[in-house]
Amino acid sequence: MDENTPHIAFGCAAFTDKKLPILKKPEFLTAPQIELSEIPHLGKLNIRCDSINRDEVSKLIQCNLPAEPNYMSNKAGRFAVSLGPDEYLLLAEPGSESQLEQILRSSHLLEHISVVNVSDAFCAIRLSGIKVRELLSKGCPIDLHPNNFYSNRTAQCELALANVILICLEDNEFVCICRTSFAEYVLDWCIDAGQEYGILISKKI
Amino acid sequence: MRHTQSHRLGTNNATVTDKQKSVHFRFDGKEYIGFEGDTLASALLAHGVHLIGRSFKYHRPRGIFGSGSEEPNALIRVIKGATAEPNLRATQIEIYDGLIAESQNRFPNLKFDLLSVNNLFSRFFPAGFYYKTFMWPSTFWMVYEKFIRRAAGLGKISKRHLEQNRYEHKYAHCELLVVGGGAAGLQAAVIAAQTGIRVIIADEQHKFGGWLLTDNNFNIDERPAINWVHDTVKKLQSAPNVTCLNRTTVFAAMDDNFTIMAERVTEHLANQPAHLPKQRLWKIRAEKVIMATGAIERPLVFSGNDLPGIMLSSAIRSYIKRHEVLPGTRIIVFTNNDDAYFTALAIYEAGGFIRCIIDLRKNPKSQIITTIRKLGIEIKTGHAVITAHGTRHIASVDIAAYDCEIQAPISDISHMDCNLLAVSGGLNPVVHLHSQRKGKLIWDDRTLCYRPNNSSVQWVSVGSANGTFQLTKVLNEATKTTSIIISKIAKHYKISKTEETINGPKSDDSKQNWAPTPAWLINSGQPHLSEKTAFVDFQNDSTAADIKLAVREGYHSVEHLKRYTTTGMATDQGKTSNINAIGILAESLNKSVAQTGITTFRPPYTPTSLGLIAGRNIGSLFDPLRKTRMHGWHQSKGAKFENVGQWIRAWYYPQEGEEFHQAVNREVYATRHYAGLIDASTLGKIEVKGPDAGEFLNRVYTNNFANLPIGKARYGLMLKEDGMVFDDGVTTRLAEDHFFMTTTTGGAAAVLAWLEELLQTEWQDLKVYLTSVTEQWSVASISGPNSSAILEACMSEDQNITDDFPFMTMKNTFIAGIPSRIFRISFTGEMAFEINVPARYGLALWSHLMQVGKEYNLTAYGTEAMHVLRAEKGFIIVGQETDGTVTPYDLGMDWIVSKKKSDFIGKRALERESMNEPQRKQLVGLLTTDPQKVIPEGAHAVLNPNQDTPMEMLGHVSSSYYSPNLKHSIAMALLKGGFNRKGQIVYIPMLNGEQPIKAKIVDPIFFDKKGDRLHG
Repeated sequence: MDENTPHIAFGCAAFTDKKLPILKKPEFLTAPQIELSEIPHLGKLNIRCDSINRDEVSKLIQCNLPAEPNYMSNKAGRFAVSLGPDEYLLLAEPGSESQLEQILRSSHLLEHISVVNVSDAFCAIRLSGIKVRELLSKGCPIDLHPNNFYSNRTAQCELALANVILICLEDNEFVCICRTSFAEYVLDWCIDAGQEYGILISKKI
Repeated sequence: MRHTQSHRLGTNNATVTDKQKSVHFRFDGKEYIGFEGDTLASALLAHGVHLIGRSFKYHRPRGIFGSGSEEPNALIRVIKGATAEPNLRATQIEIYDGLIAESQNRFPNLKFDLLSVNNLFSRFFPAGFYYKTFMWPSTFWMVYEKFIRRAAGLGKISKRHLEQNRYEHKYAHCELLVVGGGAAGLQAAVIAAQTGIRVIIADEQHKFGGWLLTDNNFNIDERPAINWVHDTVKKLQSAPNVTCLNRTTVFAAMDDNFTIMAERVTEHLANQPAHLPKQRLWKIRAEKVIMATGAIERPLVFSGNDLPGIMLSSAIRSYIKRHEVLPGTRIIVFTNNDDAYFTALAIYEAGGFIRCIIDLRKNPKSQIITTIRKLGIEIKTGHAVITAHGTRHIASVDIAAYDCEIQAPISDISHMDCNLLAVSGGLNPVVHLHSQRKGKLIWDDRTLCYRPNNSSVQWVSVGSANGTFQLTKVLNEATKTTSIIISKIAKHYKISKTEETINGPKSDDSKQNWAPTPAWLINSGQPHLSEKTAFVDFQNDSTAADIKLAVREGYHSVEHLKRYTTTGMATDQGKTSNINAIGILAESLNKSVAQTGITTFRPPYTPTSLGLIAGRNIGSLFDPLRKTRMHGWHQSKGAKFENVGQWIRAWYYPQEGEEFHQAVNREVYATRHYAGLIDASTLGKIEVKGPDAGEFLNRVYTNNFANLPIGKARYGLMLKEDGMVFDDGVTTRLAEDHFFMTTTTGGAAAVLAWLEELLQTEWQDLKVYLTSVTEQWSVASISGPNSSAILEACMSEDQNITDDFPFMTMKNTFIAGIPSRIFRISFTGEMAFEINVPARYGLALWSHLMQVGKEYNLTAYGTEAMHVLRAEKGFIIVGQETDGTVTPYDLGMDWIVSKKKSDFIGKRALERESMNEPQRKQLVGLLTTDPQKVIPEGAHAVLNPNQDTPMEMLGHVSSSYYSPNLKHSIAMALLKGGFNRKGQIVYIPMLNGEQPIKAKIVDPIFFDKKGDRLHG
């Protein structure tokens, strides 16, 4: 998992293949109103467990699995996203996923839960800026009004033609998680849809 | 040459046009000047230009008729740069500097149109003409179609339209959507806005105000109506919870208040900024919808009523008030109601000359009529215009006293010349959106219109869209209805109680008695002559005679009438024609209009560009292209790609100068003789976890999985309940309660969804969790005699992997330091290893294998070579050898169907007698007599190629390739009773006229029948 080992691709190919940064904006704007970048190598675990085991799993991973659907809880840089009544996505600091997986696999709960490392299956894209909601509303059918989709709200939804997990971090800050093979499409779509607001795609957060 | 604006008024009170700003534009090659705020129609009328198109069927000259989206005639092509957009209504096109517009449906030009000969032959084009004429012989339709399509074409589209015009989509949510920004809509929005709920108000025109822009002499709350409009719009625009969208047409109302509208963002601008779209499609989820869509005037039907210079009375009033254009000098007004008197007043005030007002009513009385009388304007009550005369413009009319009861003229005809005729046949509420929602309509005998029944609490019509035509009543209704609607959204939304919010503002509109007299068709006394030129639907050229003919031929239902005569089926969706057609139908059937019914309106309300519906889902954004982590390597080696579902996979890797077949043959040969490497990352992968995982797999696969030892892999077939093959793949047991399933590339999503459905709905008792890991793992599959040597070479010295690595087992190990799951499974029939690594290492693994494999002649091969390799071995591909009608028995795969298991999905269906019927299509191999001749895939096989067509077919060829290892063409086919036909000769007839291909039916395993090569 060493990023410096030469034969390991760095992050999602959609980002590494492109010559970053990309800036697209109308001339009258001095600065882009949307910024977009990958959060590379974020640890991602798919956790399946019933509500009766939820608290114990939460203790083991030191982050509460949210009981409410379409919400996220976070603690010390770890984020647990509700994907369904018995399904969660845990986002954790890069490299910690193997250890967390081991903790859960070696616990007495193992028979009742499932934990699968999906760190490489998904790509996490951070979007920020005052026009982010406007941008997303061009492809996302859910109600993104701040009264409805606020900090720690999440949704599994469409973004144009891709299925994504959308997370609201702050008022103007979102994380969009998509299957890695859709990242290039999501990126291209955002560049296209964001041209009227000015959009900057950069390598690092 | 620039024409003078001969018909523009000298005053400066236009509610829309700004006379300070000149605009230059071209129409049909001529240059004109208009003003900002003009529509193409108003600017042309200012120059006295009426003739603007030729009709669809008879190519009759047609002029501007209306003033908005109801316009049936003035269809225009607008040219911008290299692209052009057809079928836009001149009444809705805002002019801008440099606008280039053209008339349509004429050749060579508007004044002399060749196809207008159709008009002379109109008696040969009756209702249902196409149905009646082009039926025989039926095979000739192919020939007819081309000519009909050319004659019928409305407008031309340019091929590069989508490249040069940007259309976007946007989703929006609100508590209240108000459709229409006239008096009712503005009042509704302003009431709703003060509660703080999200309000979207959309209006089709470029200025809010609706008919108040035309009827601006009324006062609202003792100030001019137009001031009330300005104040209200200002209030709405400054409210943070209100989105005001002008130039926005709500064209579709769907279930659950999902509403779609088209916003014209920049197309009205001379210079469209590149960062904004031409149009934007809004998809709105509204909790409640108020439809304040207004009403449209309907014409009167009489002989010659389609001549240029005959216009809707309300449209003439609009051109006067909005644009200060008076489109005629000697004017006659023909009406059955009071509204036309307001037009007469407007004409009078604009200094126009009204020859007379012809009113069908015998003794009409109202304030406005008294006013008009006092002005000295002649009113002929109980009279009708019987016929209009003119060649390319109205020149005169025939007038007679007329009895609406007996529907006949009751006096001699007198003649009167004129150059503008205003017609007014009553108002039709715009009920389209209500009707799209399957809302019912009620016929109102007093106001002579269909209005919504307003039975839904989700959407409601107000104002003239609801058949309420008097301004004070409209404002009152909008106010009250909005209060009720809002109270239903949520109790806590409070409206401050003031006179204005309880009853709405008051106006001095005097239209108290809205009671038009019914007169659906003006009878000339010689109906067989006059009805053929009495037009009901202008755009589709259907006449009163067509409707009566359809009735005589038995088309009594309003829905049949519509389709048979095409009335109401043109791009204007019958906005001006539908009710008149129904009225004439009702009279012909001796029924009331209410008994006759009305057709259902369907989206879109106005024509909507396909480009807008496509939005940005075009070009490279048409469909996501999914690439594997090794894609960059394939690309750098010049691979050709093929699409497999959304995945893009390396198809073959041509070397310099190589053709497709040469490359594929080389790859196949190398894999059998040395080693080949394929990117198999796209295979679907599912982790199956839980104490009941074994039992679960036992139920979904036909063979046994519960007894699979840990570390072992097994091939499985998955059926649907109908016993037909659904998917296949290898599943491996990683632990007692943990399996790793693979699926086909194309079936991955469907399999996961199906298995989840089973767990969630059928087998809730099973403790099993599924997680898709398709993209977690990159897969390189290495095959061929040298594969184990290459694998060994990749291992560190202390690892000895291949010695104890039996077929159909898996190992967790490291390869080149990368954590891997290696499966010894084979889709080529060679010794093979499928190496799975976390996707981030995919490219590294691939590059490393290719590097190490160099000295072992390792060759990268693509999907085509994979197909040939598996076909040589007779391995099926689900979706190629199967199509949802193929059982495991049909594939000769009885061995995989467990006889011991008590149940699995599809078992019951497989036990039906017909499933073992010997004449089912069964999978066989085909060897062509000519070894070089490759049969086209999908071709059909017959026993006797000399029989008459249609031939009796045995079945079709599912896979067909040239096998470089056998130096022979090979194919698989699904043939009736195929198992018992082995050794027989079949023929494959060719569509291109070549000799049929002769082939022998054989076993589908062509190569290494014993399977020795699997074991090296």
